[in-house]
Amino acid sequence: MATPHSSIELTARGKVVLWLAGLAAGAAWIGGDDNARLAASMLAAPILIDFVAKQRRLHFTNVRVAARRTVAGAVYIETLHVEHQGRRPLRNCQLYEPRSMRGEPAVLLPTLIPFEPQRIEVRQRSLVRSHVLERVFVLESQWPLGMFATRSVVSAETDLITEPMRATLRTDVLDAAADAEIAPVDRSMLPGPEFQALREYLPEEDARGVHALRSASLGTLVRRVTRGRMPRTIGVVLDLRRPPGQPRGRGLRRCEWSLGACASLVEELHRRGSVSRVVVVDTEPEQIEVKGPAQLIDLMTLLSEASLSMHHGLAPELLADVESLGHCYWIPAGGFTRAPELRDMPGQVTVIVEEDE
Amino acid sequence: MTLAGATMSGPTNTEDAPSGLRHLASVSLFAATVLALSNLPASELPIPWLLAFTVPGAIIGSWSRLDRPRWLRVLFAIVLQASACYGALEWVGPMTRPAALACTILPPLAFATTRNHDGDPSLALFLSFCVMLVGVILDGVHMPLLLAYGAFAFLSLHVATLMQSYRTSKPSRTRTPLRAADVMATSMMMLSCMVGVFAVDRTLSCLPSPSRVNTSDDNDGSSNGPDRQVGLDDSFILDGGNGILSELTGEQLARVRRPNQGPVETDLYLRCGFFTIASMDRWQIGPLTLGAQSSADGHILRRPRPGYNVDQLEVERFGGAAKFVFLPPNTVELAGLSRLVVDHRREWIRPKLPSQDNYLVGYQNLPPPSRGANLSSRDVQLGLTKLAPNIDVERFEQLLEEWQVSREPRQAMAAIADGLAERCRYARSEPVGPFDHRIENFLFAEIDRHGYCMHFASAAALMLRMRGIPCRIGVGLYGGKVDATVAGARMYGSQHAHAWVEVLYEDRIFIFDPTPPDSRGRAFVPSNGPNERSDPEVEINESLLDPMMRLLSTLVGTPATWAVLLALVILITLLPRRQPKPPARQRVITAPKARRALQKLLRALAKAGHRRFPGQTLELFAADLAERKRLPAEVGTAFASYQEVRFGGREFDGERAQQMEHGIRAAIAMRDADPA
Repeated sequence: MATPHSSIELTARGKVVLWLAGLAAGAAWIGGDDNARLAASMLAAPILIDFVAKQRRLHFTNVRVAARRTVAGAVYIETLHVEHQGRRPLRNCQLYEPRSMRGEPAVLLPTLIPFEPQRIEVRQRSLVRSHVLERVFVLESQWPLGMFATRSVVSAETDLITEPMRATLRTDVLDAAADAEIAPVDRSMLPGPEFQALREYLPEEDARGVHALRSASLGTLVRRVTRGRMPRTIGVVLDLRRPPGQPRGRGLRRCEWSLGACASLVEELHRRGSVSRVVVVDTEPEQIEVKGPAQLIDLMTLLSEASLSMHHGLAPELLADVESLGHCYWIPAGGFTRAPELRDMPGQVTVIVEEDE
Repeated sequence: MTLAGATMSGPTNTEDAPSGLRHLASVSLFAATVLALSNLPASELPIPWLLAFTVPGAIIGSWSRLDRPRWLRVLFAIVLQASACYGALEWVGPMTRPAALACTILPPLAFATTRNHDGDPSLALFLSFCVMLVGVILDGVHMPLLLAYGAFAFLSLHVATLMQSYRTSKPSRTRTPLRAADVMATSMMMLSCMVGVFAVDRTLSCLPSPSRVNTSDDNDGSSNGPDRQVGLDDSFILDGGNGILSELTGEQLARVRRPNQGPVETDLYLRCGFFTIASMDRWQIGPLTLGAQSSADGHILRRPRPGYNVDQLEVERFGGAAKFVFLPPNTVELAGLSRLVVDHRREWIRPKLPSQDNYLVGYQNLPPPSRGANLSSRDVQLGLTKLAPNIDVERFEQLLEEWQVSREPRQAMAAIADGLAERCRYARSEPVGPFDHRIENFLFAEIDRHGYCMHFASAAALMLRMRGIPCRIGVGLYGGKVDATVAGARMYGSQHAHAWVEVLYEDRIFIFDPTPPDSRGRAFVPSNGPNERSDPEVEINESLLDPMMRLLSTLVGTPATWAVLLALVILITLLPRRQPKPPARQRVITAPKARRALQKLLRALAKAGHRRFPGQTLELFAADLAERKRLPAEVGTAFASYQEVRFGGREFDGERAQQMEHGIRAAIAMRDADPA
């Protein structure tokens, strides 16, 4: 946890004025000249007053912020509650969160009266997939004369979950788990509960699924979805193991894309009504069955914390639940595409890799 | 990670700043620049040249806001500046030296002031500060101008800091209106800056300047060293500024006693310095020919005059007096002091380094010179008959003729002393009046012509010189008080600082003191303002507050006080402070009446067969009743009223009490209607 503290340092203006004051004072001392002494006094006085009047207890400020879940790179407006708990009002303070305000200007706070919370809205963007339990803010002020700058680090205990940036998956990959498109008349023959819905038509999809009347009435292509045509439970294996012999620090970009692909895939499957049985193969493998929003949030949290692991073997029973399913997606996030477990998967397996590979 | 790094790609304009702040920034910067320019002496830098070096820059600075090709602006600037210089040359002639100096500063100053972009305020402030200093060097300190400049410069610096924060950050949507507390904080900050200037100046003056010592060292050992001008601290400023008297700030300065423990005279003059170059505002010590002392541990000034005893005095110095050597009139020799700097001809003696060694001084008590005694022939060499350069001779002559002052020294001194005593009164405040110089206000003001010893001495010296009598102003200590600890000794403090006139005869220096006898050697208290008038009765009958005020004045005038004060302020600033406790949150207290009413209601409902389960909230209880269609509207309203009081912080007023009452009645009615 970041320790709240404040530091003070000379600004560029302060350094120049201090040098000039020092030179003038030296001249006044050596030469005994009144004019030089006057110059030194006029230059030194603002430095002195700025130092004395400086707001050094910036770390007495309390920042409260609600837990947030966002996607890497997405812009959001964060609401902060800032309360100064010092003796004097804080004037002309700038607030900045290094993690989520890179490229964004700091926000100039209104005058903070002691123990009167202020509600501040800040435009932020978390660029890095992560899950942090503490958010660190930087407060800076040059009030009143700008000779010194005080800077303080204040922290707020809250969750910031940055989910992986979503990846665009090809339609054929998404539909790989679905049965071959057949005439609607055979719909009732298919397994699973009968359920029909409409959704937006995606390019490259089979045109036979387009609902003509509804598309004409809405003015955009709408296709019919029959839930019964999708297998009820689909397996997803996210393999975070590196291939044997691959050093650390490589394949990070591929890993990020793979995590994003996993998030997109599970979201889409969930949206289509399927249950995803996700196995995350990590140092400590985990299995989540995404049946509803709660499990989806758990999975996203898991993905936000995921990282590549060294190569290791898998217990045979780990994939037993997935192997029993008719279709499985395999995402080799660590780049280990020749895993023996993948080769031995009994059912239909779709491997999801980035296009460039 | 710094904010500067974060704001590289952020908005960098000041459009988000309040318009009032932007206007204040422009106005304060413009005022500071104008005040700095006003401080330049018009005699040294004629107005046409001033305009020639500021107007083109100002025009180009204003024009830079327009989007024009750069070459066009450069061409326009060259043509404009050349035209302005040609105009000034035609109008007032060639450029003066100050004008040549100013031409390097003024155009960028005018340009930065009028353009007022990102870094311009800082540049303009720095340049205006340089211009201000040039004005001070050329024409001395004009305090009102300097104060006004300081106020606007510090305000501009403060506003520029606020504007910079708008440049480097985005203001939040929650804007706080300008409050009286903010204005007060800004005002206090400006006032603190002004006090800070004074405090730092006083603190710096504590530092002993090595140049004074070095100059003496250079002449050490040579009897005919080069003439030199002593620094400004030895000037005799008539407005009570940094004169030699104002440096005598210690409570006790010197103790004088006789070796034989005899009493010291009450009217003893102890000179530590003199001033020869006359001025209406600032007398100066003039050139000195420094040399070494005549013996290793003393100095012989002259041979004793036959027929008169040589009396001995032992002088002990304290505090700030350590840098002076006090000499009584007609001193013949000095013993017990080494490392002295001496101007033998002018009888000027100082230690090279401040020293608190006791010394013995031998002097003769000579009678006043007789009428017809020869004046010093050194007067021309020493420049003791020169008048102040800007003296209004005609006005002074009228006064001399009115007082019938002749060229005979004794008669002239007596007439001037009488005239001054009749015309002016002694007061420890500055002379005020319509004239430019204080000495003219002292002599020629229509009403209340007053002043203190410096003004009496200065006026008398000028008048004597107008009659061709060589004289100078002597400063030092006079009077003193009896020191009870040492028999016969007298103690001199800063309140005994005094100034008088020394008339140089051929064989001696005669002390002529034009200050009224009962006012000699009394402390000078600077006036609080030009219009302050002193009350003679108050001066004569000193109240109990006077010694305290004198002590306070002494403390304020002591540089060490300010140094200690500064150190204390910085120390207090650096002291760690605990975080204050948050104010106690207002506790929500359920009104007992409301709770009692609710209990009645719940009892009635229980009797009707609708008991609330333990832990069941009122909302759930009400929902349960509503589900069973056993919730009368009055009971629901009563529940809502209680919740408003309990959790909403509302008062249990008459209306809510009535609603609770209705709810209780409705519950009783339910019991009566359905007793099962």
